[in-house]
Amino acid sequence: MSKLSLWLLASMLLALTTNVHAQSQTSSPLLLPSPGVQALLIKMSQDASHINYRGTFTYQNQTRIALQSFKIDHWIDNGQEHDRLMFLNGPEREILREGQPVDCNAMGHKLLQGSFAKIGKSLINLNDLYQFEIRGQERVAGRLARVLLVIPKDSYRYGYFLSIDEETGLVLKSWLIDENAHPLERYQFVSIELNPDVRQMERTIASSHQHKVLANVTPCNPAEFSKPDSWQVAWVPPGFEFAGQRKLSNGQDMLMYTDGLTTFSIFLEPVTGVVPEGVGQSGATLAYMSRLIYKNSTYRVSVVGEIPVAAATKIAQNISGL
Amino acid sequence: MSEQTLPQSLAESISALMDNQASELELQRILKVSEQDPDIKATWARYQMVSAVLRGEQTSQSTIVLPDFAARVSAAIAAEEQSVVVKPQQGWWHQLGRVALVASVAGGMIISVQQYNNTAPRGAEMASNNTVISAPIAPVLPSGINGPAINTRTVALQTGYETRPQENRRVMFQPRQTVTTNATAATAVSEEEVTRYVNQMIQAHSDNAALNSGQGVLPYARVIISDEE
Repeated sequence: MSKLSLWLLASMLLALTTNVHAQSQTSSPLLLPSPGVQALLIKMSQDASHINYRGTFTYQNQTRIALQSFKIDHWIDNGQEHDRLMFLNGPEREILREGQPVDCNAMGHKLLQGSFAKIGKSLINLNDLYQFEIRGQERVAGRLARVLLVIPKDSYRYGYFLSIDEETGLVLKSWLIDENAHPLERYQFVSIELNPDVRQMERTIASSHQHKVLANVTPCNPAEFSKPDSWQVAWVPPGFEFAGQRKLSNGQDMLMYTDGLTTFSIFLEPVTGVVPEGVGQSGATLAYMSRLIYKNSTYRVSVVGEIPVAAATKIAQNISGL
Repeated sequence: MSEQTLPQSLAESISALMDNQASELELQRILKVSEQDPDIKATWARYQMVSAVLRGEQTSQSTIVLPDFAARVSAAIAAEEQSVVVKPQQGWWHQLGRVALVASVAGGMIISVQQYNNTAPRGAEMASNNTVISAPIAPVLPSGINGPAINTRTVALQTGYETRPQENRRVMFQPRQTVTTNATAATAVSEEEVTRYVNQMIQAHSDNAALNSGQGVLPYARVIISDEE
């Protein structure tokens, strides 16, 4: 069966299972103006970070069949985003991210918004990488959402079914779909409360097991494309751009890439002795692990992301020192 | 090979298979090893016997039924593979199908044995010491009904319910093909290390995904926070 027909089948199944109202775009243009795909992506990328909300969502992936639930608080204070993600299943844990300026658009957002294409700096725009199709409306978490089908045009990335809140731009439902139209992971909001009491959210007592993650790991509002400082990544799939680099506390060099919707990261560290080489899979995330010998030193090289193994392999094979 | 020398990873895999949580790779590995090593078969049989005792069933039947279990699963999988052309990484309904298949072949033998989820050596010790009878009788629950453990410290001792802190963080690892004949030992050593390494990278990668994939902090749901930090 061709890839296209698989996708058609998948979208038909989705239409059956998710109550997508398959109304034609022209049936009621006055009542429901159909925003263009670009407008929808901009809304998704920009608006959602500017609002305060508290919600619960479920998450499931291909290797951990058990459904997991999360509670999320998102609020703006002093022009900065605050996110608290609470794990509602298993051991009590939470992830806290603070300090992301609301006007900070990382490389992924810039690509999603088509910023570089608009000013002629990019030869590739998102439409060359994915085929976008708005497939009507559905109701998720009690809210009206626009269903966006995102089909990759090459085999180096996966596809998406996104349900984007019409009012806020929040992604209320997200499926990551592989080349055989199988879902790799699914997120879905169950409930959303807009403009909750921010003071109360701030006062929430931190979990005994709170894990703080860094905001701003990639630069804000990049105006140019750039390259890693000390590594040469000779090949990445079309449309992926370098988003930034970090030195992790364990000594790893981390290089970050995005095409706007899909991300992968490269990890490099000098190593002695045997390193396991092969492919690791946890949920939708793949880790391709290999070795690089450069100037008589051995490095452990891993490519990690929600990308097919063919892409990760080829990326890893094209990395060298500078 | 006695239980004491059974590689930890293999013991974990068998334990995982006992409660229907084994990946396909693990299943294949257990089947392969058990063909070559009668002691693995014996270990499996012992686990099943313990399981049966815990469920209040007759042990004699369990031990008779089990030796050909592996052969039946092998045959069933081989039969299925002929009819369904699939790649190693499949959708979850394939996985579910496999689990259902294995469960039906086993004729209900694989019902989660809460005592042995992450404590294969303890289980083995209990079996060999014949102290099983004094163990608390675990209620029979459908496999997979239990969520992740409430606490990473085991609560199985008190309740008999499933505690499987390792399950969530497990990484399916497919090593690059090597010519090493005794690859099992090498893999056994590295599996836990691979899991830790990959989970650490996924956590760092989520920082990237949360900023650059347009879906806010949802990618952090993929992160496994372990108590080691």
